[in-house]
Amino acid sequence: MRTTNYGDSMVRNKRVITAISAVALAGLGLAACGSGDGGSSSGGGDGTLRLGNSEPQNLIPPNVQETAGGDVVDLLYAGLYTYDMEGNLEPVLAEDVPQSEDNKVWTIKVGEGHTFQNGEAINADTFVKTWNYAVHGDNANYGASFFKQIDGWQDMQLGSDGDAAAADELSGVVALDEYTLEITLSDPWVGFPVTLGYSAFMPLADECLADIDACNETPIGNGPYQIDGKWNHNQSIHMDRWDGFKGTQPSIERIEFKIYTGDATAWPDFEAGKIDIAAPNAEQYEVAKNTYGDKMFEDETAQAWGLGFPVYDDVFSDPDVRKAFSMAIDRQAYIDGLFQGRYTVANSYAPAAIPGHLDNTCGDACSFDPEAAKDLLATTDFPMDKTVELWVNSGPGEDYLKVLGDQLSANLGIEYVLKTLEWPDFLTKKDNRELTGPFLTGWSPDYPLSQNYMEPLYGGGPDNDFGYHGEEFEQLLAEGNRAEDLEDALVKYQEAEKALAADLPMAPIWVTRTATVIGDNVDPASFQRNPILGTIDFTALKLG
Amino acid sequence: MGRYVIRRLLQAVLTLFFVLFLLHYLLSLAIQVNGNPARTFFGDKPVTAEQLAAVEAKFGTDDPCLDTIGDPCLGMFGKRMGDWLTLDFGTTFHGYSVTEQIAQAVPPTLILFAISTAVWVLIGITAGVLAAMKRGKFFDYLVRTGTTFTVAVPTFLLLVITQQLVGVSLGNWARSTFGRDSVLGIVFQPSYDHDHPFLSLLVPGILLGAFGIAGITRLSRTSMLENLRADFVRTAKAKGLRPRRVTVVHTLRNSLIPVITLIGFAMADALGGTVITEGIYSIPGMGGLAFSATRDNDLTMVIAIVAILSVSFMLVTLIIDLLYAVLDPRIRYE
Repeated sequence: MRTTNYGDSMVRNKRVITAISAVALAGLGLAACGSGDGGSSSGGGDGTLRLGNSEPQNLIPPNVQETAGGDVVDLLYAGLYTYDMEGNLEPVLAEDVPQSEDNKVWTIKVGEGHTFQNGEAINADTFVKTWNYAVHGDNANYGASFFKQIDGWQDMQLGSDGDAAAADELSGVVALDEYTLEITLSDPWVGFPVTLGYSAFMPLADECLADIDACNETPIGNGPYQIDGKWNHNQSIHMDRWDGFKGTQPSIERIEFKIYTGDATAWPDFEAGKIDIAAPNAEQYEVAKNTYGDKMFEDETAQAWGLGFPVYDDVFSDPDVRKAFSMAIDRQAYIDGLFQGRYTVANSYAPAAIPGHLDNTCGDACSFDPEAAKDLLATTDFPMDKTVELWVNSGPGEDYLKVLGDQLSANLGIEYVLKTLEWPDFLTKKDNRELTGPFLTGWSPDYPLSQNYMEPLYGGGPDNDFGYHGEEFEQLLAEGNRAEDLEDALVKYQEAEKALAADLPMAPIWVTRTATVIGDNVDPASFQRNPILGTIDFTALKLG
Repeated sequence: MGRYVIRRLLQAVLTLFFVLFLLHYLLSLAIQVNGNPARTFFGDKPVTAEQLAAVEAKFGTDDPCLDTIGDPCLGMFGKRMGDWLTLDFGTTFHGYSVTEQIAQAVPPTLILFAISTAVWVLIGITAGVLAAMKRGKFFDYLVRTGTTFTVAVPTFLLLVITQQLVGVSLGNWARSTFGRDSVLGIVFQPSYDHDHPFLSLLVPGILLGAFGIAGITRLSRTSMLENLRADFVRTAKAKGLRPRRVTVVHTLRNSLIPVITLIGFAMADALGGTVITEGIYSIPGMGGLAFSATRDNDLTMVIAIVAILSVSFMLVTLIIDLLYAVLDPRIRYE
């Protein structure tokens, strides 16, 4: 969900995530670099961790969409749940995982004694009020779509002409008593609890809801850290450890984010000892690796990239054409050439960090075999004399797609031309199915479930952006969604993924990895990055 | 003089209006051609028309004229100008006050400009004058080679190399030798420091000054050489005035007219250099603001920034025109 921001040539990794936006493309995702993610410590000895960030768009959890805001919000606020390193739901404010008889009506016990930093108590009603705010169409919160499966969501949205919403309260969320929250879904779904660890579900204090703008400048959180002063736009955000937090207390007493503006990155500041953790740019990667060696950590993310096909197009409606294209791509050579070998070859839709991942669901269609690819293409009606159009939004993605195009051209004997669009134009054309050839596409998950890599993109009948419709695939997805427990669901989702891969509406190509370098005053043994959230685990991190 | 100033100011208002309208039109066209930026709010995710409409309203890009290519969106422009009359400069896409963002961005940029103007005046003019006085000597050749060098090295390269060599390498040495909070440790650092705005802007300010210094130095030198041969200088010398007075009051003062004009233009050019300098040194100034607002097609912000830049530029040219009269008694605007 959070798109990465490319403003500063930083692409940062998003945390749990969402679709990778163009922005992401340029910024973070691709290069996985950037100042965003890291900071580094300098100074030493004063218990302060110094980090770099870019200017967040906002600091209201239900509206945070990019990593810059996410990194800050995750420290200031705490939600009902978070994700552990394996992607399992871990209670924070809640007492236990959500309970349900029928997977349609879920009850959550909110723990007693939690408060906001202004002293307000947190109870079931807090969530009812916060979520009503999050979902209401008037507020145009980015995170509103995370609540989509809850009953009454549609009534809270504005009409397409901006007409008022039919309801002001989300009918599917009620407080049964002070600490019991009952959530009713519009359809039973066993995977629902897994979505709750994302920051869109974090609580807001009454004082905050009463004046959201003020709360954006000076957040009233409930998490392990409390803001010191206010958000100094384009300059800094400082925070101190908050002793009132009932969850796991972090060891670091103070965190200072320095905000980088323009297209600046934190890397030179890291080298000068002004920040403690930083991510080198692609150009600096080799040098950084040689210089910092064991202080550099490379972690796999859940961000997956591939070549999407316009299944609605006459030429690409034939699965054999799509497979021939996929088999003509030498993924390892591609990653070695373009990304210094730092990314991982993708041969499945859901990457390894995601629960439900199954290795190589793509099979032969994702292994490089130029001869077979050519032969397969010859059996189809593919017009060899026609120039193939490859679509991308402007930014680093142009280079990525060009190298792909060169491979396709050399291995299949086709001609190609790059069609570059500005990001909003690209998205609109994609929505309207006006892309007339394969396009570069990336995805970061909204929640750690393999289903998230399939249903929002290729499900829902032929109405999706790909124009893909697979009866068996949709059937298996639906069976997974209705399964009794999560394990059965994951098995069904794996079967669905195999069915999807057999039709190959998108050829998986790579999964990004991040590179992070830590400074001398950070204890390397305490460094770990949560692959699901994509962020450094600051609770575990120690200065040393 | 008074009538001249009034006439100039009226011209300026008219020009400003045209600049703003042109900009409004170009940015509207950019949205019409490239698509509504509100769509990017959702990234790659599928989005419903209802959600999109809500975000367009929030971004202020919900006017239907933005859907028709070529529509000048006069209504939007008129409304914006009306708001401006009430001193309401609007909000950015992310809901922040344009006035506040600009007010915050102005000081660092002003300091940056003050430093680079000082570099032009102190180093550029001095070097040019000295080179002229010592024409054909070693110093003259040094200045001529040096200016060629600053023109030949691209600004971007100069900035990146200096950031690494001065900010990181030399700075790390200074910080380990004299301490983290020593003046040298703060001056030699690779990015802007909010606690020490002036000190940390010295190096980028000097670099920005290096941009354009070649023209100023060379023009001062040529202009000096020309005036050194002028009749009035010969007369002054013949009158038996002290050489120092001849140089400063008679030659230099008259040589400065073209140089001052050039400084005015160099400032306008340096606005482009600010975007790069502020980007590399992470200075939260007008350049960075203009850069990100343009990238995001944030109409409200871009128009406000350009208005301020246009007004400043017009003021600078006005001041320069008035300075002519001070420098050369023969020029009077009546």
